[in-house]
Order: sequence, then C-alpha cells, then structure tokens
Amino acid sequence: MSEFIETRGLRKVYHVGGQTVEALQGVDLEITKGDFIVFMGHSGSGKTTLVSAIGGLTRPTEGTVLIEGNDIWKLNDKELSHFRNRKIGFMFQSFSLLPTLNVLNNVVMPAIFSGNSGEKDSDALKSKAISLLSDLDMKKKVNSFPSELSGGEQRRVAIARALINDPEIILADEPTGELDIRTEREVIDIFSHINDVYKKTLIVVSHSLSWIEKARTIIVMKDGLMYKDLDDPVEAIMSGVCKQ
Amino acid sequence: MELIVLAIKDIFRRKGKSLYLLIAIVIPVAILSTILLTFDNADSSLSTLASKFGFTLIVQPKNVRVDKISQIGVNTQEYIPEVVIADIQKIVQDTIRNPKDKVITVVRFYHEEDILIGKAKISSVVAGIDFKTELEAKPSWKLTGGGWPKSDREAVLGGTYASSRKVSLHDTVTIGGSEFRVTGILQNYNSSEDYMVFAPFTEVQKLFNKAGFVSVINIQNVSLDKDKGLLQTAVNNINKNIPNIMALSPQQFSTMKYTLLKKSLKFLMAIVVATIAVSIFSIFNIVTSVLYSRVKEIGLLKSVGASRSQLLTIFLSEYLTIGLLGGMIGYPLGLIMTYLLDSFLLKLGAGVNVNILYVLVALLVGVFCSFIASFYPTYRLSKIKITESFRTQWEG
Repeated sequence: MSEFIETRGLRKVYHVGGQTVEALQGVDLEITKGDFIVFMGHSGSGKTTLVSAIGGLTRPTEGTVLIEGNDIWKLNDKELSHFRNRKIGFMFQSFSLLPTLNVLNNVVMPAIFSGNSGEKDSDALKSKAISLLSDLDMKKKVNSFPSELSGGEQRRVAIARALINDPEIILADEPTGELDIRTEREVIDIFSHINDVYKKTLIVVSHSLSWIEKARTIIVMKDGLMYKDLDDPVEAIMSGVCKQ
Repeated sequence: MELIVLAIKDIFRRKGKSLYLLIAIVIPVAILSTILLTFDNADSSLSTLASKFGFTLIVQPKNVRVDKISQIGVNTQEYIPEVVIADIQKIVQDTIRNPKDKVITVVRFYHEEDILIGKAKISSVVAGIDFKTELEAKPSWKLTGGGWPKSDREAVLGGTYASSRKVSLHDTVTIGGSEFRVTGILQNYNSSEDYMVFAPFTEVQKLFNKAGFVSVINIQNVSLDKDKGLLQTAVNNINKNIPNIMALSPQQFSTMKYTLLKKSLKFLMAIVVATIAVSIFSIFNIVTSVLYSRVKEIGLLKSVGASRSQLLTIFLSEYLTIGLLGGMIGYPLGLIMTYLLDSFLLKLGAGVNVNILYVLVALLVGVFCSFIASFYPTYRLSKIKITESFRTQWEG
C-alpha cells in the first residue's frame, strides 16, 4: 500500500469569545490507500477538525494536507468543490439527506454537481444508484422520502450517496451516532464491506468502541494531538483517553 | 435531475414562504399593470372620442366649462351672437390662405326643455340644427329608420332617447308648445347626441326667443385637419380677435387631457416605484429568513461538491421562478383591476385590452424585484463555510 493522504504540521486555532483554542497542535499523519481508519477521542479533542481539514471542509491555520501529493488547501473554491465532489464521499451524523428529494434523487445528487446528470448519463446514473441501493438492501425504498425512513435506512442512503461518484475516500463523522446497538452494528458492517469490496479509504470519526474490531487503524486524539500505534488502543480508550 | 428541478422542488416544499414571496411580487406587478393599462385605455378612449367628433375646431361661449370631450360644444345656458360667424370664417380662411379649400361651418342651438310625449313631460336637450350642412359635415350620420326632416315641424330623435322614451317613427312630440312629427331615429354613436331631440335650426331659435344666437359654431376644414400648427394658429387667432368666445379643437382637447393624464401617470408611477421598493424590501427579508433556515442544507450541498455558482443557480432559479410566476399572476390581476376601475370609477369605456408589451413588462418587473431582493442574501449564504453551516440549528 502506498502513501495516499498526508498531513504536515497541521494546526487549527479557533478564537471563541476572546479565547484562543488550539484544536490541532501540529498533526503529522500518513494514511495509506485502502486504509480503514477510525479517529476516537472525547469531545473537543480535535478529531472532527482534523478530518474536516483532510476533507477540504475546514481550512487549517497552518500546515498542509496532501492528497496524492497535492496540497488541497492551495485549490481555489471551484477546484476545492470539484475535489470534494470527485475524491470524497461525505457522511454526517445528522441532516445528511435533502427532505425534498426521494431516496434515488438523494443518491444521485452529487452527480448533478459533477455535471453527470445530462440525459445521456441519466439512465446509467440511476442504474448505478439502484445497484448501490440494492447492495445496501435499500432497493425497495428508492421512491421513498427521507421522512419515511428509519435512522438506519437514512444512513444506508447516505452511504450510497457517498459512493455514487466513485470517490477514493469516504469520510464519515459520527456515522453511527444516535443509532441503537443493532443498527450501529449493521452500519459498521456496511463500512467494512465497502472497505473490503469497493477498496475505498475510510476515515471515520466516532466515540463508539464498536468500530475497533473492524478498523485497520485506530487513532486516538486528545487536546489536538494524535496517538497512533498504541499497543492496546482499547485499554487506552477505556482508561480514559476517549472516555466521554 | 437538473439544478432547476432542485429549485422547483424547494418552491413546493416551502409553500407558505413561497406564497408570501409570490404575494410580495404580485402586488407591485398588479398595480403597475393596472396603471399602464388604465393609461393605455384612457389614451385610446380619448383618441376614439376625438375622431368621433368629426369637427376640426369648435367655438363656444367663453364661460362654458368643459371636463369631458363629449361635453365640448354642448351647453344650454350660454349663447354666441350669430354675427361672429362671418368673422370666424374669415379668420379661418385667412389662416389657411387657400380659397379652394372648403370651410364647412355648422351651427347648433341647444335648449333644455320639458318636451311633451303623449301626456308625459320629459326634460330633454333640444338641438336646433341645419340638417343639410350637418349631413355635409358628418356623412357618417345614419338613421335606423325613416328619413331626414323636410319641413319645419319635423324632428329626428337620438337612438337612446327614442328607445328609452318609447317614441316611434311618425309619433308626435311637443316642443315649446309646438308639435313636431318624428321622421327619423338616429343610430347610436355613444355620444351625447344619443340623448337629444333634433329639430330645424331656425324653428328652435324662434321657439325659445333666441333668434340671432347660437350655442356652438363647428368648423370643418381639411387643411387644418392635416396641419396641427395651422390649426393652432387658427384657434389662437379666433380667441385673440373675438371676445367672449372660446375656440378649441377636439384633438387639442384630447392632447390636453392626455397631458393631464401623463402628469398623473408620473405621480402614479412614483407610487409604483415606492410599492416596488417596499416589495423588494419584503422579499429581501423573506429570502434572508428562508436562507438562514437552510444553512445546513447549503452546507450539505457544498460538502457533496456544489460550487458557489451552482448554489447561486439553485437558489436564484427558485426565486426567479417565483418572480416570473408573480408577473404571470400580477398582469391578469391588473387586467381585472383595470376593468373594475373603468367600470365603477373612471368610466372611460375603451374596454380592457391585452397588451403584449405590458405582459413582458409585468414579467420583467416580477423577475427584477425577485432578483434584486434575493441576490445579496443568496450570494452571502453561498459563501458560508461548511463546518459553520453544520453548527447552526436546522429548521428545515
């Protein structure tokens, strides 16, 4: 596996109410292609900030984010939008689907922005979306609207949407938040399946320990610093590092 | 699925807010359409009336007030001595300087009198006219039945007068104690003549002891009809040289009314501009509030790859569609308001006509209001950072 994502000296400083908060304190990270990496840590540890900087959502105060050797924060707004559209599939804990669109249209939405929604590509795109939804056991719900779906079903649709443009990276922030244990297990299995079958690089932020057995790499975050290659991450987490 | 489909779906999703926006656009468009259409109808109404009049210039007593074009020359209170007719004719001839160009002079004598029809006394306007010269000047004058009077004790009735008083051909009406046989009934021309009784000029003068006096002197001349400058000179010369009379042309009167209307149009347009400004302000507030409730949606769209220009396309399409719809509803509403205004208040009677140019103006104003009011909030919100957008409260 080759080096795929790299951060160098990544710092992020927030100014909140006259106070300076250093969310990231010079993070150096290397992620190989096809990795399944889970960032864990307590609230405010900097894990979401780090992942947002990698995904082109939050501009770092200092440092670089290199994807395949290119510094994404040197891209202009349009190029960055294109990068997000083509390279990354996003998934968020809440509000991940547009309530006005049915399942099928929610899934194909990223393709609209990449200019693949023309008449010529439309059928192929819909077939691809239905195929992804079938793979996620959601074929019967293609015409349903988000309000008609359970939390677990909404996450599946969000996963299908993240995959529609065939991105190399899937970036998920608390994808199992607010789900019951059974549904959480199902979603984690789907992520594992995506990593195994679609060979996507998965970057997940979560508080849940349930990810540990499926993830290839566990990174624990604390006070804007990361701890990798821990001998026993479970013990580190259980001993309080990422205890909520 | 295209970006515009996303926009249209959002319009239907936010029915309440979309309706507010639509109302904010429909109101100024409807007011603007009403004013433009009313102005247009008044213009065509005045031109039609002026062309119906048939005379080049009219001389009437100075103190007679004229508010409507149909009132020109019709008065039953003041009179002009007949001796001025020759002076007026001379002034006209001197102005046109063409002895071959015929100047037709038609005089009328009006008197309001209780006319006896059967046993009923009915207050009526009696017009003493010379039927021969009248027909020479107005060949379009037609009877619905009967013929023109051939003797001094015969009369013709206006169409509406005859039908409303149930007077038929060969009936007798008593004017000033003398009996007149009805020989003809005029067609209706939507003018004051529809309500008059016409009898021979000298007979009417004598009946009311006004020999040597006329109510109005009508002049018809082709040269003056063709040359507005010459017409103005004739009017000015008559007014300057002959005391206690007022010369005017129906065309001039129409222009005068048109000018007055234009002045009021400026005032009304100021109201429209104020309405549009209020509308833009209202739309701005609604759009801002709607967009702030959609911040998370904007963040989501950006995170899946929507560029700022694509976001602007989605949101502006949404608001411009509502603007276009506002124009499409505002114009017919303006038509209805124009019809009601004309029917119950202005009574111009020109009817309400669809004007394609004004349809386009209505659509453009709708789109313009919408664009001006929505561009800034849309542009500003399209710049929001994705992570900031997810921190806000979703109200969707």
